[in-house]
Amino acid sequence: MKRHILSIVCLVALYLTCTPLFAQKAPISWGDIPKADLAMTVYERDTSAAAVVLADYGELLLTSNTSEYICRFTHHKRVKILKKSGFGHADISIPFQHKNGYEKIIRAKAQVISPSGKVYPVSKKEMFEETINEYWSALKFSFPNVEVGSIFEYEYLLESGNIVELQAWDFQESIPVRHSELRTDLAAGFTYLYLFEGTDEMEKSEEDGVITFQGEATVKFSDNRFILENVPALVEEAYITTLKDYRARLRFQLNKVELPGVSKTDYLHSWEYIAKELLARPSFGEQFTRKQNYKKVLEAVQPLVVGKSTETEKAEAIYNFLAQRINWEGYYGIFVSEKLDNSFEKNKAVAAEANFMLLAVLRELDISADPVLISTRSHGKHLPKYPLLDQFNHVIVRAKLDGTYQLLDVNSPLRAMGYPRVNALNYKGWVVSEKPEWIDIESAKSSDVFMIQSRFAENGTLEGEWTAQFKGYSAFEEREKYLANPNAAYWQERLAASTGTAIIKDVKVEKGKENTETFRTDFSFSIADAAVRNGDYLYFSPVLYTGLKENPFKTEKRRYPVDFPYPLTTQYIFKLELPEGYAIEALPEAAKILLPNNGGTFYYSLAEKDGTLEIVSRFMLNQRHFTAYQYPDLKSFFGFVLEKHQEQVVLKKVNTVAESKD
Amino acid sequence: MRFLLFFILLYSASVLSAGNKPEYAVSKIPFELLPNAKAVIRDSWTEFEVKSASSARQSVRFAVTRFSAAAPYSSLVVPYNQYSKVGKIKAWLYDANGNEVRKMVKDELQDFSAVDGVSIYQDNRVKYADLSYGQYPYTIEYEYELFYSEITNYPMWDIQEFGTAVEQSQYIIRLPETMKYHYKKYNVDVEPLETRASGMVTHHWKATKIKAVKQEPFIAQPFLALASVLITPGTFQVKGYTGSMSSWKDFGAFMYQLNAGRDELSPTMKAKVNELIADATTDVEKIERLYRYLQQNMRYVSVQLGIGGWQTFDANYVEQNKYGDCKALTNFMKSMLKEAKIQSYPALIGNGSRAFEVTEDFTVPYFNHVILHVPSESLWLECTSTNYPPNYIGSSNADRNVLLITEEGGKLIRTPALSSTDNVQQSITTIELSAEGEATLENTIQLSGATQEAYRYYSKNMSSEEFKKWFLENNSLPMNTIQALQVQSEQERPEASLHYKLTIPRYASKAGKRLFVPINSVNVFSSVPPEVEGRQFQFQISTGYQEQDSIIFQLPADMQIESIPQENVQLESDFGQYSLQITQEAGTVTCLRKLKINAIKAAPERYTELRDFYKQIAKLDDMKMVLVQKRT
Repeated sequence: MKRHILSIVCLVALYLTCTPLFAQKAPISWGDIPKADLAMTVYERDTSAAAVVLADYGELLLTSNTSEYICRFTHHKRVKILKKSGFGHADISIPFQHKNGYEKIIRAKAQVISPSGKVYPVSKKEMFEETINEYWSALKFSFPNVEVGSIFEYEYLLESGNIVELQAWDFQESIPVRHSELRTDLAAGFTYLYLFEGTDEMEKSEEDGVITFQGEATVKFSDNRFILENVPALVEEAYITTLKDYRARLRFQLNKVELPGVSKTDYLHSWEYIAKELLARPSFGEQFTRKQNYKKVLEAVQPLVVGKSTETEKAEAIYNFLAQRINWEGYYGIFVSEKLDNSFEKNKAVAAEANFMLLAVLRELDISADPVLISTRSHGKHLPKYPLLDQFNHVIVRAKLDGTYQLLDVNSPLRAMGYPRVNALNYKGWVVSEKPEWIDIESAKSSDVFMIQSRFAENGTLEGEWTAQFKGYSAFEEREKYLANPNAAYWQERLAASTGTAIIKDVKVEKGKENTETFRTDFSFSIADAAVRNGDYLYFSPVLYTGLKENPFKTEKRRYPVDFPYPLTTQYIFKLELPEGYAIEALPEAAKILLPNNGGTFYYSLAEKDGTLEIVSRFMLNQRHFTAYQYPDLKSFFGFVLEKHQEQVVLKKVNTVAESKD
Repeated sequence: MRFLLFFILLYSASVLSAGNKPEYAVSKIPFELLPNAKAVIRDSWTEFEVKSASSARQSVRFAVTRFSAAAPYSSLVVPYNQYSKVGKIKAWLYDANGNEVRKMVKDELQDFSAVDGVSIYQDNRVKYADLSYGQYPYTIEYEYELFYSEITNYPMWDIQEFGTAVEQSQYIIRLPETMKYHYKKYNVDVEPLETRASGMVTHHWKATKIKAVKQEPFIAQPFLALASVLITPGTFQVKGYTGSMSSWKDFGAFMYQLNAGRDELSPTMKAKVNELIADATTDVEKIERLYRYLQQNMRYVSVQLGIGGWQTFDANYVEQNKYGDCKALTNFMKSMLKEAKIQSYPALIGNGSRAFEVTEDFTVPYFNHVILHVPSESLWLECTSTNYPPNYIGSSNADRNVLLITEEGGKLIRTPALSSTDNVQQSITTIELSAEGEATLENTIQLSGATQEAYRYYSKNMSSEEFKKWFLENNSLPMNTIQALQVQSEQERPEASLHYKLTIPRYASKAGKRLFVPINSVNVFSSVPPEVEGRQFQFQISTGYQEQDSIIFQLPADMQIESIPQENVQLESDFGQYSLQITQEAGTVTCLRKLKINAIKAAPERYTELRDFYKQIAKLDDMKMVLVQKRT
C-alpha cells in the first residue's frame, strides 16, 4: 500500500545499541573500482546526467578525546563523470566552521581513475584551505587529468566539537546518487533525535521498512544504517519556499545524555521549558524585560504616544517610528547581537533587535505583546512536533491591540503594521510566553484595482484617465517603485511595453511617502497606436495592463508544489466611450473559470450601455499552496487569463451599408 | 632614523579627532554641486608614499554625504592580499548637521575572500564594513592605511563615480628623487604642486568643485566620462623582477621576462605534439589539431596565489593536471606550437565589458585575461574555451586593443571585430492556423558569430532535458507544447542552429468571426533603450548584426484576410535597416522580415533618433493581421 506521508519528519530510532564500531563491510573501499563502473558510459536511470555519484558513504562517530566528547565524521565519495559538461563536479569545496577551532579537517585524500584504469592522486600541495569569512573556511581542490569516463573519489575526516547537532547527511544533490549510506556509532548514553527531511512529496510503502522515494529510490533504515538508493537529481523550480524543503536529508539532534555517575542531562526539552529558558536569556528575554537594555529606545518613543488614546494608535506610532528609523542589516536570527540601545543608536539592527525594541516599548505601555519565532520561507518548514530551537531563524511580535491580535514585524519603512515581511509568511509561528503555543500566520490578501475611463480622439489616439489602487503587499511594492521613480514613468512602459508610445500626464499620488496599506495613483494617458484602423473597422485590445505579463509556469511537469506567499486579486475595469458613428461589431466571449476548491477564480465580462463599452476582468488567486498534481490546472488557469487579456474588440462604422456584397 | 621620524609625523597628522564635524553639515555643500548628485564627496585624501620599487604606504581619508539609498559609497571596502597589509581602519557617521552619530565598532568590520568560486583559488581578500544609515542625508567618513611589500601598480586617483559630485579631492604621491611615475588625466584639468625634501619628491594633486555626471545607456567607455587620473610606476619590482610602465614595450618586456622559460614541454608531450601534427600539411592545420587537443583534454581551473595573477604555471603543470587558468592554458598552447615550429605570443586583454580600453599613449595594465596570437597566420586562439572553433575568440574578446608579449617587448595590437556580416541570424517559420486560433509552428534558425555563442554553449553544456526546460522558460510565445526541439553547433565554424516544432492552442486570439494573428512572434525586436533627457555623452552600439526571417502562414480553409496593417515597409537610417514584405497567395501569407542593426558611435543629440528608429521596429514587429470567416 502506497500512501503520502503528511508529516515531513519521521522519527526513526530513539534507542541505539552499542554495536562494534562499523563492524560491517563498508559499501565502497578506497581504490577498489568495479570494472562495470569504469566501463559505464551512461547512467541508465537518468541518461541525461552529466555525472553520477556512484557511492556516497559517511560514518559518524561520537567519541571522547582526553577532555571532551567530539564527533568524527568520515566521508568517502565516489563520482563518475559521464559528459564533458560534468567536469565542473570535479572541482571540490568542503566547507567547515573554523572559528575557535570548532571544526577541523584532520586528513583528506583524493584520486582520479581514468577510464583505462590509470590512477592519478591529488597531491597535498594542490589542496588549498581558504578562509572564506570569520566563521567559515573551505578545503578546495580540483581533480587533475579528468576526462569523460573518469571516476574520482575523495575521503576526509572532519572533527567537530558540536555534539548537540551532528553533521547532517544529504542523500540528494544536483546530480543523481546511486547509493548513499550513513552509519552512526554514537557513544553509549547519548540519545539523539533523527530528523528525516524532504519527504513531503515522497511515497512510502510500509513493507519491511522499505520506503519508495518518488517511485525511483529505495530507502533502508535500521538502527544505525541509513541507506538511500537511486536518488534522482534535485532540480530548481520557481515559486517554491526553498529547495531545502525538498532535499532528502538526515539530521541529528541531541536529546539527552545519561552517563554513569553523572546525572541525566536533557537537551531536548518541552516547549514550555524552552520558552522559559529563552525568556531568561540575556540575548533574548532580557533584552525586552530589562530596562537598561532599551532605555534610549523608550526615551525616544515616549513623546510619540502622548495624546494617543487607543492601543492601536500607540502601537502604530511606535511601529512607524522604528520602521522609518531602523535600517535592517539584512540578517535574520532569533537572538540579538548587541543590546537594543546600541543598535538603536546605530540606526541599524538585525531583525531580532528591531522587533525586540518594539516589543519592549509596547510592554512598557502595558500593551500585551509576545515574541513569535518563525522559520522564514527561505529557511524551510516548521517542525511543530519537535521542540528544536534551530528550526527558527526569525522573530516577530504578536500584540493584542484593543482586543485584537496583530503580527508586527518592523525593518522596512514601506510596510504597514500588521503585514509581516513576505519571507515570514511561512504558515506558522511559535509564541514564546509562559504558555507557549503554535499559531497560524495568515497572510492578508493583496489586491490591485485598475479603473479606466477612455475614448478615442479624432486622430485615433486612445485617451483616458487611469486610477490604480493597490492594497497590501502590492501597495508596498508599488510605492517602492514609485519612490524610486517619482514621475511614474514606468507606467509608460507598462501601457505600451514594446513600442514605448504611451504618454503619461498629470500623475497624482495619494500618501506616496508613508507606509499605509493602500497606494493610489491617478493619471491621464494617451496611446497613439492602441487601435488599428482598417477601412470601416477599428480593432483594439482593451486590456492595457494588469500586472500579469506572462505565464510564470511554462514547463510541462513539476516535481515540487507551487507556493505563493499571499493570496492576490487583480481587478481591471475598462470603460470606453464608443467613438461617434461606430458600433460594436465583435467582442471577446465572456468567461468564468474556477480552480478546484475555489483555489482561484477568473471572471471576464463585457457589456455595452448608453454608448459605453464596459469590460471587467477579475482574477483571484485564493489558495497559496498547490501540489505538483494541481500544477497542470494552475498552469492552464494562468494561460487562459493571459490569452483572454490578448483578445480584441472590433468596432465598425454604422453609417455604411451593413455588409459589403461579395 | 630620520626616515622613521618622518613617517611618524605623517601618521599622526592623518589621525582624525572624533566628535562633531560642522564642516560636514549638508548646508555647507555648494549649491552648484547638487544637480544629478546622489552623493557628494566632501573631502577625499589619498597619500601614496613609495619607499622603493617594492615597498609603499598608502593612507586614505574619505568623507562622503549620501542623499538616498540609491547613492554609491554605502560601504567601506579595502582590498588586500599577502603583499599588502592593512593598518588601522576607522569610520564615523555624521547626521545632516555634521553631528557625530557613531563610530564604527570592531565587529562591524568583516574580512572575506574577494572572489568566490569553487574552481578558483586565490588569496585576494577584502576588509568590508556596511556603513548604511536609515536617515538621509548623512555623511560617512573613514580612514585606513595599506602597507605594500610588492608593487604591481600605483593606486589611481579615482575622483568620482556616476551620480557623485566632489567638493574637494586630493592625491599626494611621494617618491625618492631617483624614481619616476607616469600619469594621465581624464576630465580634470589640474597640475600637481611639486615639493622636494630629504631626497624625496612630492606631487600634490588637488581638484575642487567637480560636478556629478549622470549615468546614461550605451556610453562608449563609461570610465572616460568621469574625472580621474591614472597613476603608474616608472619602475616596480615583483619577486625580484624589475619592471617599468614607461611604455608598452617596457611593460611587455617585463611580462616576457617574468614568464620566460615556462614553455618547455616534457619529452612525452613533445612526442605527442609531433604525433598529432605528423601528417598535417599546413601550419593552419597543425594549429587546428593542437588547439583541438587542448580543448579536448584540458579544463579551466584557476589557481592564483602570490604572483600567480601575473606569472603563469609552466607547461608541465598543465600536462600533469590537465587543467589550468587562462595564463597556463595559453602558455601550454604556445608551448605546443613552439614544438611544431610555429611562433605565437600571448596577448593580454580586457575581456568582457569595455568600460576602459588601453591606448598607445599611456601604459596601464588594466587587463583581466590572456589569449594567444599567431602572427604568421593572423590567427587568434581563446585557450579557455572547450568548444570555440580555431580562430574564433568570441564577442567578449573581439574588437579591442590588446598587449602582445614578445621577446622584443610589448606591442599594442587590435583583435578582429565581429561585424554585422559575421553576426547573422536567419530563420524560416511555417505556421499552420486553425479556425480556432490554434497554431502548429515550426521554426528553423541558423545563427552565426556573436548570435550563436549562447546556443553553442547550450548545445555543448546542457542535456536535452535541461535545454527543453530552458527553452520553455525563455521563449516568449503563448502557452505551448513541444513536438520537437534540437539545438546544434558546427564544430568547425562559429555557427549554430535551432529547430523547434510547437503546438500553440491559442496562438491567435478570437473575437466573434475574426482571428487576430501576430505577424511576427518568433523574433520580436523589443530592446528600445530608455529615454534620456538632455543626453550628454556619445553613445555606441558596439555589436552590429543582421536578421532575416521568413514566416509563412497557412490560413484556415474557411477564413480570409480582412486586414494586413502594412504590406510593404522599408526603414533606413545610419542605425540600421528594416524591411517587412507581406505577400498573399491562395491560402497562404508570407512575411519576409529583414533587420540590420549597425555598430555605430554617434553624437548625444542623435540618441532620440536612435530610439525612434528602434521604436518603429518594435512597433512593426508587434503588428497583427486580421482574418475573418468567409461568407458562404
